Order: sequence, then structure tokens, then C-alpha cells
Amino acid sequence: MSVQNKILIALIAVTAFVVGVALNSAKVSDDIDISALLTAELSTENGPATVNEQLEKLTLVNFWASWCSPCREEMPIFETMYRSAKSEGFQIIGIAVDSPEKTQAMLDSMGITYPILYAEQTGMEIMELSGNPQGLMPYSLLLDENGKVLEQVLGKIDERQIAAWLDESLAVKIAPQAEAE
Amino acid sequence: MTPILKNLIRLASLLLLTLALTANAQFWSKKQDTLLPGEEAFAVTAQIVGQQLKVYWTIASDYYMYRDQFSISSTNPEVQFGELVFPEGVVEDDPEFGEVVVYFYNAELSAPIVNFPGTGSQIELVIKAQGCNKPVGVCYPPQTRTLMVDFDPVAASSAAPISAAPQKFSSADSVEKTFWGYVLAAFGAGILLSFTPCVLPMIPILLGIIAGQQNPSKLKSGWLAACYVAGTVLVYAIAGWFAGLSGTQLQAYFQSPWVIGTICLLLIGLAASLFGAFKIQLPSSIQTKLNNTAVNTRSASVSSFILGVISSLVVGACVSPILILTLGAAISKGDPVLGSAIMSAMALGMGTLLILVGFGAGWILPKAGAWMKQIQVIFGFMVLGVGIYIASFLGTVPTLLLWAALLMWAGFYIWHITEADIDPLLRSAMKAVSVAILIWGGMALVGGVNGGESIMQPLESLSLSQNSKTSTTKKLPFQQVTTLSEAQAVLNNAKASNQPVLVDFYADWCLDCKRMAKTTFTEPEVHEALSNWQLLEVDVTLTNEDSEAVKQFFDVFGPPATLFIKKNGEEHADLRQYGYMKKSDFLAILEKAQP
Repeated sequence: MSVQNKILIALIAVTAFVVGVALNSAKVSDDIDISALLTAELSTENGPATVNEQLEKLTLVNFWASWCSPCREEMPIFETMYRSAKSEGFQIIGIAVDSPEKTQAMLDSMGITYPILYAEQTGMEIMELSGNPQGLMPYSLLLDENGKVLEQVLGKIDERQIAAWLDESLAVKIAPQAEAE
Repeated sequence: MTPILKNLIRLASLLLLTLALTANAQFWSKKQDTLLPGEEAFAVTAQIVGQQLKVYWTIASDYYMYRDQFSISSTNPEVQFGELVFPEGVVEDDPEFGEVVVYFYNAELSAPIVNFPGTGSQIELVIKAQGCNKPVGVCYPPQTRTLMVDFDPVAASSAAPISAAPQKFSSADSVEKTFWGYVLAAFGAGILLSFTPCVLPMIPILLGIIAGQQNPSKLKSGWLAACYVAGTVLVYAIAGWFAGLSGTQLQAYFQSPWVIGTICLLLIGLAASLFGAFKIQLPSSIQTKLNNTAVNTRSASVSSFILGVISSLVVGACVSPILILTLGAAISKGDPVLGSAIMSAMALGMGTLLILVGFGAGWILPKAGAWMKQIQVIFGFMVLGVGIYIASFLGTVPTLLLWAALLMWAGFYIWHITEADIDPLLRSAMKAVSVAILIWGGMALVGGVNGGESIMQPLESLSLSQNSKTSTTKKLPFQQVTTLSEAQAVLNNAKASNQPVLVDFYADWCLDCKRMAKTTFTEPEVHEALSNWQLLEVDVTLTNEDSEAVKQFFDVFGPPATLFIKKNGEEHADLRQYGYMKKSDFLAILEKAQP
């Protein structure tokens, strides 16, 4: 075997290794087609709506469902952050892959005031197109005012993370909340 | 074939092989850093016993499922189920919903079948469920699975529950269908097991055998792989026969120190021959060339077959949960032929990847020359690695130190062969690899000296030892027993003093048992929670009449198993756990078992 071939083999092996590792750890995909998420007509309490028309300077889109406990755990944090930075152009849109009947009581008891759009049937498909092929939840996307994806997060988001985003994109400083409530 | 084409095919096979190995390298590590596909995280099987439908969910470690999200229906509108019966689960406090019941590890649901279909002997089920991964904190989309289950039309039509009378099938046809159904399912299960620690350690062994040949042709490599797989099929067929005949579980027989010792010796021998210490063939001067080749092939086939037999004895144990599920049917029917067929089919399924690797190796391996020599040596190192992996089952072996020695040896070897006159680019790449291996070996040495165990996290022991300064390292005061009479004495004692008993099945070769003894059972909170419990540790390291008797008495497959016995001497059967439990899980279950 010639030297070139050996080098080629070594290169291929390295590539295969990297691809293998990448395949292994792929939870979410970078391949995001955001248009489906932005333009899909979803239902709300007040009739149909799209994510696009609700975008603010900085928008966090969060996919959730009533049965998903980690989703429920992060929503009160979202609400707090939403209230403190709403006036500065921070928006949170919750997309419920669920029905209003199942979620209403829960939203009321948590006192959620940020907009909730319902996508019981189409939610999974939208998530798939938005870079979450397995449809895992909670799944969140941070969008700028034009709907460009700034961040992609699978799993829970904490206050500190949101505070960092607010600081970076809106120059809003939020004092960390006292732990004990 | 033109040389270019040949090389291209070689490259493609190498690419595939590396990809497959790398993509699954995580299975070597105990920790799951990545998320499993839904089908692997939550596996379901179902069975109809008399007029009851039983649905078994097997939940991967770190995953859980919600009780209130389970549902069962059938595509056949005639079929109707009564109310679902759930086992007791773990109650999680949810800030919004109050108490939510979830299941870890497994959930066995049952429902009475109110109405069977008038014709046929199968029902198509639609089973729905939802679950999440605990440490990552993500939930899976609703899972919907369709399954075919068999039922016995005779038992279904009779209103009385089936008695001790043997089951009769209405026609030979339905027996046939059932039989092949099981076999096919077992073959599928085998293929699914390909990328698990049950099969992966076999790949370097097989490659070692093939690389040890002079000029292996593609056909010969494939043939050797087939011989190897035939060895595994034989072992599984015999195991299945006995399981069907006696209904006993075979896991423990596979992991005796003798079997493990034998395979380690064989692997060292194989590695030595790859290092060039000796050749597994007759001197060519004695044989004519033709005969020599024939004899070589024959002896290589036989040794490949034998290595297949022995390695399946050892790694066979790790398939036990799935193995028990697939074998369940044969065991419940007491049918040795079915048991054999199921197990052979599963072994064949597991062997599919091995045979592909065998043919692939035939394409990749260079035919002769200096390069071949070095490849052989590297395969030798891989074979030694498998030997260390298998030896680690014994527990008394200082695994990490062995890994350190092997990695350093291999690292220096790769450094050494780069000194030959080769292209600087390739040489630098090889040196980089060698340095990486040396560093890994160094970390293993440091970790090993500090009492670490995992080669994937060699330095884990360092961070652990820092944490453990705050917690007690004291072990729980278990009363260790190895025989049934000793165990019964402890139980009677506890009953007399009105105390509950924690029964822990332990074995030296059981990695999860050791992990639990080192982590969960050293936590001060666990010590406190167990303060009024009698603690019984059944040591089943050795497989003999005594340990079998204890296992039969408690109806336990094998370690790691944790049983909770009430004050009155009865077991909390629903709380019984197989497998490793973290502190939080253990405490949650203990909470429910508290009197």
C-alpha cells in the first residue's frame, strides 16, 4: 500500500471517528428550519395566532406539555423573568403540545401570563423541523426580533441563563432572585 | 478487480467499521451521557395469561414513566379490557399537580380481558405511555407501540380460569405460528443487542483471530466469523434447552471465576500469538502447501469455534434481562425445544454483526508485509483489553492498573513503530495517537492507585474521594450469608423482634452491586433510614447448591436484587428492585416500605 493510501486511510479513520462521536451525542440537530415554527397557525384563547406576529426584540419559544414534569418546573421561572423584562422587549411564547382542557387549570394555578399557543396535533412536527428530531421536551429556542435562532436548548433553563441572555441581547440587568421564597 | 477499486472497497469497509465502533463506544461506559431513542429507553412486551393481559414495561436506568399516562387498547373493536391495574410506584411531589406516581426500572400492568375476539388466536394491542429522563430533565413524546399477543382460544372461551390442566392448543396451526413468532422475535432481539456490551467485546476477539491468520481471504475471514458465531449459537441452544426443561436461570453459571479465568488465559494466548510469540499452525516444512492451508483453516476454524463457545459463556450474562423476557415463554411452557430455538435465534441475531465484521475484516486487512505485523500487534493489544474487561467481572482484579499497563505498553509501541521511515504526516498523526494513549494510561494509573475502577472515568475516584470526606465511608452492617439456613435464621430473628428486613443479593462479579455498596450504601442518610432494619446480604458470588437454594427461596434471578421484607415476614413484592439504585431512588422506595 502506498504512502498516500495510508494517509488517506488515517484521514478517513479520523473522520469516521469524529462523525461517530457526533452521531453518538446528537440530541438536537443544528439543521433548523425555523419557518414552520414562525408561520404555523396555532390556536389560542383568542383565536388563531402565529409565533411571527408575537415576536419582540428577544423571544424565548418554549415547547411543553402538561404531563412533562421538567417543563412544569421551569415555567414559574419563565413567568418571573417575563414579568421583570417584558417592558424591555423580552417575550416568552409557550407552545403547548397539548390541549387547552388539560392545561388550563395548571396555567391558572401557576399564574402564567405570557402567551400560550396550542399545537396539540402539529407540535411534534414543528419541533422536528425546528431542530429537535426526537421530539423531546422541554425544548426552547431563543429568537431575535427577525426570528433568527440565537440559542437552542434541550432540557430545563435556569434563571441565570435567562439573565445572561437578557444582559447580552437587551442590556437588561436582573438581580438574581433570593433562593428562599 | 483494479487495485484502485480494491482499495476503495477497503477504505469503505474501514470507514463503516470505525463508525460503528465509535458510535457505540459509549456502551463501554456505564454512564449514559446521551439520550436513548424512545424505543430503547422504554421497551414493552405483553402476554396473555388466562384471561388477564399483562404488559411489562422495561425502563432504562435513569428513566421513568408516568402511571397516569399508560393506556391499552386494541385495534380489534371486539376486544374489551377491564380497568388497568398498576403496581405501586414511586410518589413524586409535583409543585402543581401534587403527588404524581412514576415508575423506575420496570412497570408491570395488568388488565382483565372482558371480551375476546370470536376468531383467531392473536390480539393486536395499541399501548400508549409517556416517560422522561431524570438526570437530563427531558421528556419523550407520547410513545405508542403496537404489539401482537397470542391467546389460547380454549382458555379464552371457558369462563373458568385455567386450572392446573396443561394448556391445549386448538390446532397445530396456532402452535406453529406461536413457535415461529417467538423465534423471529428472539432473532430481532439478538440484532438489537448487537451494539451492547453483550456483543461488542466479541468484536476485538474475532478480529484477533482473523488477524492471526496468514493471508486471510475475504471468504476465510467470513468463514472464521461464522465458526465463531456457531460456537455462540451452540452455547445458547444448550442454555435454552435447560431453561425450557428446568425453568432455571442460567446467568450465574456463566460467570464463575473458572470460566472467566479460562477465557482470560485463552485471550492472553491469542494476544501472545498476535505478538509473534508463536504461531497457531504447523511448521510448513512438514506439510505440503496445499495440506498446510487446509490444516490451518481447519485448526483456525476449530479455535474460532471454541473461542465463540467460551466468550458467549462469559458475556452471555449481560443479556440476562432481555434473555429472561424472551425465554419467559419457553420457561412458562416448560418446552426445551422452544427454549433452544429461541436462544439459538437470539444468538444468530447477535452474530449477524459479527459475521459482517468478519467479512469486513477480510477486505481491510493487508495481505502481507511489515504493515501486517504491526496491525497484528495492535489487535493483540485490543484482545488483551477485552481480557481486562472480562477479568473486571471478578472484582478482585485491580482493573485500572491493568489498563494503565496495557495503555502505556500500547502507547509506547505505537510511538516506537513511528520511528520507521514513513511519511512525516502519518508519523505525526501516529505520534499524536500514541501520546493520547499514554496520557490516558497515565490517568488510569493515577486513578487505579486511588482506588478507581472505570476506565472511561479513570479519575472519578479522585473527585469521589473529595466528596466522601463529608459523608461517612462506613459500610452498612450487613449480616452476610451464603446458605438458605443462615438466611432463614436472620429472617426468623427479625420476625421475632418485629423488625423489617432488607435483603440484598450481592456477588463479587456484579459491578452494579459493588457500585451500590460503595455509593448508595455509604450515604449517612441511608444509614439513618435503615437504622431499625435488619440487613441481610446474600452473597451469591459462587454458584453452587447453596446459592441456588437461596435464589429459589426468594425467587430471585440473580444480583443485583434488593428485597424488602415486612415485620410480619412477608415481602413487599411490588417494591422488589433489580439493578443499581441511586440514593434518592433507594430512599424513595424505602420510604414506602417503612412500616
